[in-house]
Amino acid sequence: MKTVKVVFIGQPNVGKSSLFNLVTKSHVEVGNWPGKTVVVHKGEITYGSYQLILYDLPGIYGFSTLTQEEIVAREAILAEKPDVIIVVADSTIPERTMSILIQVLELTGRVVLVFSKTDLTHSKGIHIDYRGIEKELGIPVVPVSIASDMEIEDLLKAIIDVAEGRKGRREPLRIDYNGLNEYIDSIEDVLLEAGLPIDLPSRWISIRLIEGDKILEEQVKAVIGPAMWSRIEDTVREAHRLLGDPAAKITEARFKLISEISSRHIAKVKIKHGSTVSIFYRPLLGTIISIGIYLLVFTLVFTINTGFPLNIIFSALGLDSIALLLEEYSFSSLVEKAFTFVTSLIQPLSSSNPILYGFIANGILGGVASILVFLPLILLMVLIQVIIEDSGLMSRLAVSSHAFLSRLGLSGHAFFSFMLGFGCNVPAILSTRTNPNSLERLRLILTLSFIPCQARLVILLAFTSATTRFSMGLLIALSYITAIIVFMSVNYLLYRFSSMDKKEPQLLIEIPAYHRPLARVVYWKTIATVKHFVKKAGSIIFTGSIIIWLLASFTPTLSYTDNIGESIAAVVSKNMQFITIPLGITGESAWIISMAIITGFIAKELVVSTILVATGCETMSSAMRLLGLNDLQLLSLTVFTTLYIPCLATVSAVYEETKSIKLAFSVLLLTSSTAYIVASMLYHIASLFIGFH
Amino acid sequence: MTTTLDNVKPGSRARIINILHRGGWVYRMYQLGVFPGVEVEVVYNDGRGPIVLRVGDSEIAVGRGIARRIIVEHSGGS
Repeated sequence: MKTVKVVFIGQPNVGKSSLFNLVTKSHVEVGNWPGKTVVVHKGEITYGSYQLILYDLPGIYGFSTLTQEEIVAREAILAEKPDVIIVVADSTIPERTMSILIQVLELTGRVVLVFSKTDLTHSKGIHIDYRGIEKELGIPVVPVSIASDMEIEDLLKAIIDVAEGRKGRREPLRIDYNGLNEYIDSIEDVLLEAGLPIDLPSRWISIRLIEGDKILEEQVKAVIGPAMWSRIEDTVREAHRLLGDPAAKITEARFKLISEISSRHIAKVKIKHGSTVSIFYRPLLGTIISIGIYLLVFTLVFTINTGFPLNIIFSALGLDSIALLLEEYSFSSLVEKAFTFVTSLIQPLSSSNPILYGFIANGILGGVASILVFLPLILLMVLIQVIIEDSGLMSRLAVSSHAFLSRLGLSGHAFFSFMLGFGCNVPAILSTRTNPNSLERLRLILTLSFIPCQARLVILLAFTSATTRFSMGLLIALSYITAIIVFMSVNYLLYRFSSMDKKEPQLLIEIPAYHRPLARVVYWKTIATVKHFVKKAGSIIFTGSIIIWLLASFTPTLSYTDNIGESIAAVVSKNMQFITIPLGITGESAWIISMAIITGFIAKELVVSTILVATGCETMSSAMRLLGLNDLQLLSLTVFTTLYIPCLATVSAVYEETKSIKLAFSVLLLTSSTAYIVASMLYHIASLFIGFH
Repeated sequence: MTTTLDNVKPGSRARIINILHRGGWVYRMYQLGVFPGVEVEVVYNDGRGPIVLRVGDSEIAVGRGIARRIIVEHSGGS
């Protein structure tokens, strides 16, 4: 069976990923691009006697290197040399979305052009002569509306035709760059003289160099040596001097070619655009509505998961029965019930083989339960994220929040990452990839861990349930407000006082047309992301839970104990009691809190279970009473756990995104020191007011 | 008469004369179809937040910082 490697490429919002999912019949996994640490969606299908391996690259506007996504996509194409490249263009905005096609065609002729959303062209008064474009460009063109089986069949046929060399261009496309031609030629001459050290078309390299491609510059400079490079540099400088920015001229020539193709093969009937002014464009109203949408979403997600905050609202309204019902049938309580039930099944083991019982009940089941509690949260958060992204709402939220965020040194691009953080910090950090401000992106990666994720909400609920003096809802609100203020202030300080970035935050974003997200596309995108997350975070949490069981069940002399006070974990924590002193927590059992803080680094869920296991209590409020914590100590502990060190999965995401151990450690240092400062400050301020110590 | 993009009133059209902004942003603008010679329509501009443009068939939001460095020429509309 012959293997054909196919890559899907296209601008954002053209419907590329939807098509990819339909072609691969959703047998998609999130995997790494071979040899690279780049996450792409991969699918495999058999068609006739061919094995097709398909990759969905991130949506990009072109081959510049502005965002991580663009770097990733071009690396994938340049390094791996796929057999066929599928370029997806949006038939409702054909000109602009075809600009990436032209750039791909300058590199290779092994291309299939897909026009998506062709069912929408008619209502927009657009008529495209697909055969005409096919003939003019010399590549197969496949129109796709709803991706019916017939359309997919056409696409697969075209892929095989190109792979077998029956269709497609023999040579890359040559565009007439007018005045720039001679400069491109002389750079090409230098490259050919140097023996064309890079395995890419020489004309393409020359064009990219004159456009100012920094990554390619470094590569070429390294292989041809400084003498030859200075000749190229001189040519580029000369072009700049005589013609202005060459990149502008090149863009102009490409768009001119597209408009020529368009004038021959695309007919447009003028249809009056309706009022396109969206309420989201208005800074104040837009921000209020955006935050309103998210508050609604979070209320829903939080309530399904824990019953909070609707349970508190209902019980404040005197509807205690509804509040109880919400708590009882919240997802975390259901998981807990199932967990208790399964544990009771293996109860007989506890007397005959206590080690095995402990291992299964606390190590394995505990780990599985932590992951299960995580799952609906992540699922709902990802689902809502996909819907917001797919419907075109996301860019509008970025526009409306830009004016406010720019006062903090952030741009509208940061809004989405910020909001995602409340669900889980890991996808929030990953989402910064589309942020074109590289320094803003770094600041976000450093500070997103301050946003309390859902796992931290579970801890907040547990700790605050033990207060006697404060209202539980008030304490939770205080923690969230503190966290948001800390996130904003640290971002502002980093922006204001870092010597590197003095520019004001910039926004430049496409606003795609609203459309109703396709249910199956939303489903597939959600499932693929959740699967990836569960694999990665799941394995960390699971392993962590087993390690903690081991540390909590064996003494330093490695004999089994059911008294956690003698365990390795206890001995270590007793030596590290100093970590709770700034929080005002001292005394005989303070080591249990230290231990919980340490295990919380692996996964936040473990904070609660560590305390329960160590105290042998059923509920957090009895555990807190047993530990003798007063309300002030609870307050500082709650705020501290909200802000301190993110979980292992988040720290590893920081490392993966930046490839910098220094930055990953900076996150640990920044979050833990801030958590100490803020928590002990609150503790001392509150003790002044309340007056007990 | 030339001005900068942030001064163009909503509903007006303007032709881009020059982009003074430097760095990677310029390439993103080019990719989105905003380059010298192109005519754009200002859809939204309230004097504070981002400016929303119509370029060809698509809409783009541009922050004021960038808009201030885009030199344009009034070419029609209100």
